[in-house]
Amino acid sequence: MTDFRSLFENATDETFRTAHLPDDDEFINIVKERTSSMKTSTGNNKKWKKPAVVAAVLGAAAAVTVTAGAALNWDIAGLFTGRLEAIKEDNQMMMNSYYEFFPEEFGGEIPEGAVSVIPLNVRQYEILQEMTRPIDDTIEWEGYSVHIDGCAFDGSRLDIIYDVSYSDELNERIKENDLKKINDEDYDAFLKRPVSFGLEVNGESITPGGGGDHVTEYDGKTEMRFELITEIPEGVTAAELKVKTLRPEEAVIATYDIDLTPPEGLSLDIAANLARTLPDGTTETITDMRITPFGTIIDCVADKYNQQSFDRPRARKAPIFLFYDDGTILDISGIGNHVLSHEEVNDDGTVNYRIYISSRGNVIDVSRINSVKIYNTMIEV
Amino acid sequence: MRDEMLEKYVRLYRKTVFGTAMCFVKNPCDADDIAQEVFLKLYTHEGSFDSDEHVRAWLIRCAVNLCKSLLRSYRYRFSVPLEAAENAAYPDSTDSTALTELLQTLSKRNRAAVYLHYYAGYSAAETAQILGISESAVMARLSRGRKQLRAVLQEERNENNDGFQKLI
Repeated sequence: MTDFRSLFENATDETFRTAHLPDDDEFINIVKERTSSMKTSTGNNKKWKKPAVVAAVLGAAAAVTVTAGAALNWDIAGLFTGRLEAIKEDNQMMMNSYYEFFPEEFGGEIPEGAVSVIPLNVRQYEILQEMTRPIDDTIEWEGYSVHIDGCAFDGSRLDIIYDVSYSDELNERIKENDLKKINDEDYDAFLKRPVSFGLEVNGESITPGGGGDHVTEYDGKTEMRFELITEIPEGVTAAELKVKTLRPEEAVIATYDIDLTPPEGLSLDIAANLARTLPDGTTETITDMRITPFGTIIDCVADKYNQQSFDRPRARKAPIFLFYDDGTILDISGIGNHVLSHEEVNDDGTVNYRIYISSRGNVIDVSRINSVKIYNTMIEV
Repeated sequence: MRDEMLEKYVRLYRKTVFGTAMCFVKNPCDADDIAQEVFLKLYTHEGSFDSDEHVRAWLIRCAVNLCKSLLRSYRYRFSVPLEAAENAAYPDSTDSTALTELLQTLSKRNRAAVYLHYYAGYSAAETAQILGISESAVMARLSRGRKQLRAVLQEERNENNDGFQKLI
C-alpha cells in the first residue's frame, strides 16, 4: 500500500513541476479574483486555462493558432467550429452525390476547381468569435438536463447549440420508444427532444413556428445535441430567447436576453437583376443578394405562383460560387437544403420570396470575395 | 469562507483534488481548471464543516461531480488541448506527464477507485460513497487496479536494477 501511495505522490509532484501549473499562492489569488469578479459581474470571469482548440477534424484544428488572450468567446466559438466541421463532411458527400446523380437538374456550369468545403483558418475562427454569444446554462427537470451552450448570430440567422442528457429511467424509455418507432406508430416523437425555442420581442414572437430547424445527433447512449437554426427579422437588435417544454405542454422553463446587433463588416450586399426560367416555366428574378458568414440570402420575385415549385426544393436549386482572392472557388450552391420564407403573393399574381441557403459548415469570409457567380452570371464585388 | 481557511485547504488538499480530477480528464490543464472550480465553490460555500476530513471529502466529491459533468459535455468530447493540436502539426513534442502516464496504466474504470483508496487513503466503503458505486464494485476495481500497478512497480524496480548494474 505504501508503494502505491508513493507511486502516486511522486507522479503528482513531478506533474506539478513539469506541467507549468500555477503555484499555490498564484492559485489562491486566481480563486479569490474569480470570486470577486463573480460578485461584480455576471460573466467574463478570469479563468486560468489554456485554450482548447476544437478538433472534430484534428487536421483542421491543428492549422489554427489562437492566443490565449483572445478568449472571451473561445469555448462557444470552438464548439461551433467542431459542429461546423461535422456538417462539412455531410456537405461534401451530399454535393458529390448530387452532382453524380442529378447533373441535369443543377442548371449551371460548375467552375473548374470549385470545392464545397474550405478548411478552417484563423480569420474564420475570429469571425466565429465575433458572432458568438455564450450562454452556458443548464436546466434540469423530470429527468432531462438541457445544457444551452450558446448561439451565433451572423446578422440574419441565429444558430443555437444545446445538448440534452437523460436520466437512466428516461434512457430506458428512449430505448423502448425506439423499438416502438420501428415496429409500430405508437411512439413518442418528442421523447428525445424535450424542448422548443422561441424568440420574443416585448412578448411578441418573432419566430413563428416556434423552433426553427433542429439538426439532431444521437450517439446511441445518453446524450444528444441539437442545432437550432432560425431567421431573425431585419431591424431586431435584441430578443428574449424562451426555452419551452414540448411535453406535456409549452411551459417556459428558461429565458435569456440575446443581443442581436448585427456584427459589422461580416456581410456583403449585392444588388442584382438576374432572371432565369425554372423547369415549370416560371420566371424567377433575383433582386437582392446578401452573403453572410453562415450562408446566402436571396430576395426573388417570380412571375407566377406555382405551388409545386415552392414545395419541391430541388426546383429552386441555385448555382452559386464564391471566388476568393487566393484563387479558391467555394461552391455554396443551394441544392435541396434551403429555406423559403416571406412569401407574399401580390395583386398582379407575382410572388416575392426569400431564399436562405446555408453555407453548410463553411464560415464565409466576405472580405476575401472578389466575385460571385450565380447561375452563369459573374458579378464583381 | 475566510481567506486564511481557503489558503489552508488549498495547501492541504489541492494535490488530492487535482489528482482526483486527473483520473477523469485527460490533461493537467483541465484537471487544474476543475481544481479551481472546486476551490471556488469551497470559497463561496456558506455551510459549515465538522472537520478537515469533512472538507476533504466534500472537495473530492465536488471534483468527481464536476469531472463527470465535464466529460458529459459535448465541448469536452469534441475538443483537444492546444498542445495536442500543435502536436498534430509538430508530432515530435509531447504533453504527457508522470501522473498521466501512471494513470494510463490503469484502465479508465479503475483509476478513481485506486487513486482514492491508495493515495487519498479512503476505505472501500468511503470510496464507494464518493464515486456513487457499490462497495463490491470498488473492491473489484481495486483488485484489478492492484494487478496493473504491480506491473508498473515491477517495471520500475527492473529499470532501477539495470541502472545500478550500469553504475557498478
